[in-house]
Amino acid sequence: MKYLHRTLLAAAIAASLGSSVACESFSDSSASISDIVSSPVTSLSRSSSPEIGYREGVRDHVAAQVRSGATPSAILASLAETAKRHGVSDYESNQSTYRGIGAGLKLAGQNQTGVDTFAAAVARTPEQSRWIQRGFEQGV
Amino acid sequence: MSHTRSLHGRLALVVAITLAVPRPARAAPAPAESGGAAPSFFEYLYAEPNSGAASGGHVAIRIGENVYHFQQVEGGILRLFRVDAARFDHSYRALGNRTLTVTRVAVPPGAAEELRWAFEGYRQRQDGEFGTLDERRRDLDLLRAWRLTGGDHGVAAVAASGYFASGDAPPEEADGSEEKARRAGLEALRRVAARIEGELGAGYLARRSRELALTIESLDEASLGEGIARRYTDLAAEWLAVELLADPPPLAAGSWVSLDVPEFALEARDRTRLRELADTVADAAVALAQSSRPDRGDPLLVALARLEALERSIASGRLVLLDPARGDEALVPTADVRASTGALRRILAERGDDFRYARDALFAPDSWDEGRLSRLELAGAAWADLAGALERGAPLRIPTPFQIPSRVAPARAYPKPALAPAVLAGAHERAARAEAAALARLRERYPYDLVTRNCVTELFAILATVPLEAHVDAAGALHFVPLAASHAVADTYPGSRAEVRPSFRVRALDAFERCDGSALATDLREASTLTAHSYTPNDADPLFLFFTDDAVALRPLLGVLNLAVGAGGTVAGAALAPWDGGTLLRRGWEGVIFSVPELAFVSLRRGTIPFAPLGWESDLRERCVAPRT
Repeated sequence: MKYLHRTLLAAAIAASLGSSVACESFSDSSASISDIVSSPVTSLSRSSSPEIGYREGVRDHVAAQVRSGATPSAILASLAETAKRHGVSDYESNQSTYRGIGAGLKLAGQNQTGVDTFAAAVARTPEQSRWIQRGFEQGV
Repeated sequence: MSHTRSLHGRLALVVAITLAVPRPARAAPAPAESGGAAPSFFEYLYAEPNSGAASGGHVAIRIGENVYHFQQVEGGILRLFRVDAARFDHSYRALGNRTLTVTRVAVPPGAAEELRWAFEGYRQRQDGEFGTLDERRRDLDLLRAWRLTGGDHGVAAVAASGYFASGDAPPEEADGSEEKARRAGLEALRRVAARIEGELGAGYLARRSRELALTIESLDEASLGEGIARRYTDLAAEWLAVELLADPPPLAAGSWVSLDVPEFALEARDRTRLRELADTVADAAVALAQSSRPDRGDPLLVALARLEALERSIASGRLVLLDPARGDEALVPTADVRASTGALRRILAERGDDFRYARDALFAPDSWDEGRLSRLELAGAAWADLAGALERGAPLRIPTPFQIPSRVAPARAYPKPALAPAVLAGAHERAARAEAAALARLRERYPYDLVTRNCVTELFAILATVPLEAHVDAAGALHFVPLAASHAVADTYPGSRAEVRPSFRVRALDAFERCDGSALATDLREASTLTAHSYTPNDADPLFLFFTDDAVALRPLLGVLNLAVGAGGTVAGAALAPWDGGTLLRRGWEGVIFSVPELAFVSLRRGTIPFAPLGWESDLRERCVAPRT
């Protein structure tokens, strides 16, 4: 209550203006240049290996896709962009892809039957199925 | 003019709100994290205002090593971004020169993951929707180009197409050892081609090339719907990869990096490791040629280019790394590089450390992972670029955001569809409508509103979906204002602990005071932009003469002087506008605007730091007088 008059003043001004005050616009160009020259993408990622970061990315993507009702093959196909963001172009042959898928199924609340169904749809080798199972059981 | 009106409005509101909201009490330091189990808390981050895009302050939530925050995109859509916590801290405290107030809130055991998923799930869903918009825009761009050129566009943005010399390129001059290395790369590609034909039948490459060309040439009106850009570039990329395998070219000049430093030299055991990697990449290329992925062309091109680079490395005894950049990156202005040489030299040392770290990871004797090679390629290019700029005065490219090799050939002759102008015009118009509809959907779902839906209220809305002991009322009075919301978080979670993490300037002044041995000497020197060691005027900032953030009593007087400097800059800038593109005019006018609040004891402007190493805090601790940034 003690700040009521100031609150009302600010609210009145806020209501009269249509401008942005509380949110930044996506980085302006000069800020982006400073950011990326000072700390390019390679410089801040020593806390975990690229493999762990990639598996976590796949885990989260798969969990979101499963919850949205996407099919296993559609989910696998949609991994290309996630993989690229983690420096992986050939995601089909990457063990971390399948570990991340297993962890994503766990995060999405799937049971063993769901995991088996998913593995049958996307794994091309028994090894890939085992990697999915490992991710489901052990996480990333 | 709209920019100026917006700036006026934002400043007026910030001044009013800054007066309305009490200053935060001196914060107690947050407790140190204990080792062992993962911490069960989140942090509410408040970044104080500064000139530019942040005149109202900013807020974010840190969960684990990630920070989530909303920013406005597309002129009024709120988008949730995730950034590495260390990058956020560096971006705001060092480069943005903004003090962070961090309020740490404990959450019940198990709730941390639920909290993380509340934000991450939101981001994943929203990213998918923005991905749809991106795809519609790619369609629109392609169809616009086809319409303008009647389908004879000649240029497709096929990633990784730029690593291979075109037939038109003059042959690279090479001495004996370089020629040997080049031949080794070509031989490796021929062996891959032979293996593919061995598995898929003699003449496969020629047959597949014809099939792909025919598919592209047969694209008709019905195929020009949503996703045409993706489909076309997938086909074009595979067609190019098949063509290159049939007649391998050497790596294109300038598409790779090899520095004359010890870190690029290869010992015998390094070559053995690279031989293993080259064999793995060759196997992957053979498998990709048979993959059912519709986009197999892209990774196949990357694999072929990497194979050539690895073979060149083995043959030459020096690392040859693909330059991941697209090739059309903007350059940092030379004047900016010259003005920040001290900071950039410290950043160069960090880039060297990055490279050595990435090199060690790639050569570690455990399993291969493509991500490690990608990281080394990125680190090599970033290091080479900065070294070239500082040591030879070469243009400094803005480092690529692409994580895998993405160099695009400036022009290649791809197969092209035979489409009538009327068909292309119709498809282009449909693509424009689809793009507009995708954008409208995002505006409808994630609208920005100053009071009811902004970057503060939306963070609270996501927090409200997680069962915590209490929630901040996003609709509470002034809770849409970053600073007020920061107080609301502290009030809502009584057990929370707040910590102030000082900006670059605050840290610098502390360090200089220790070194100078006289607070007065430091304060006098650092009070003005003309003499400060903690700040170098730069074109991104408004024109001003005095810092007012730590001079409360003198603020109105200094504000008058800053106002005069801004006004002078405005007048001079108007005269110089034809020559400097209006830079001084903008800086002068913004200087005037940001000086007005100072007349009422409100300081918003702190100046920004163009470049700072990640280790800026330890640099300041170790240096008595830091070079001007």
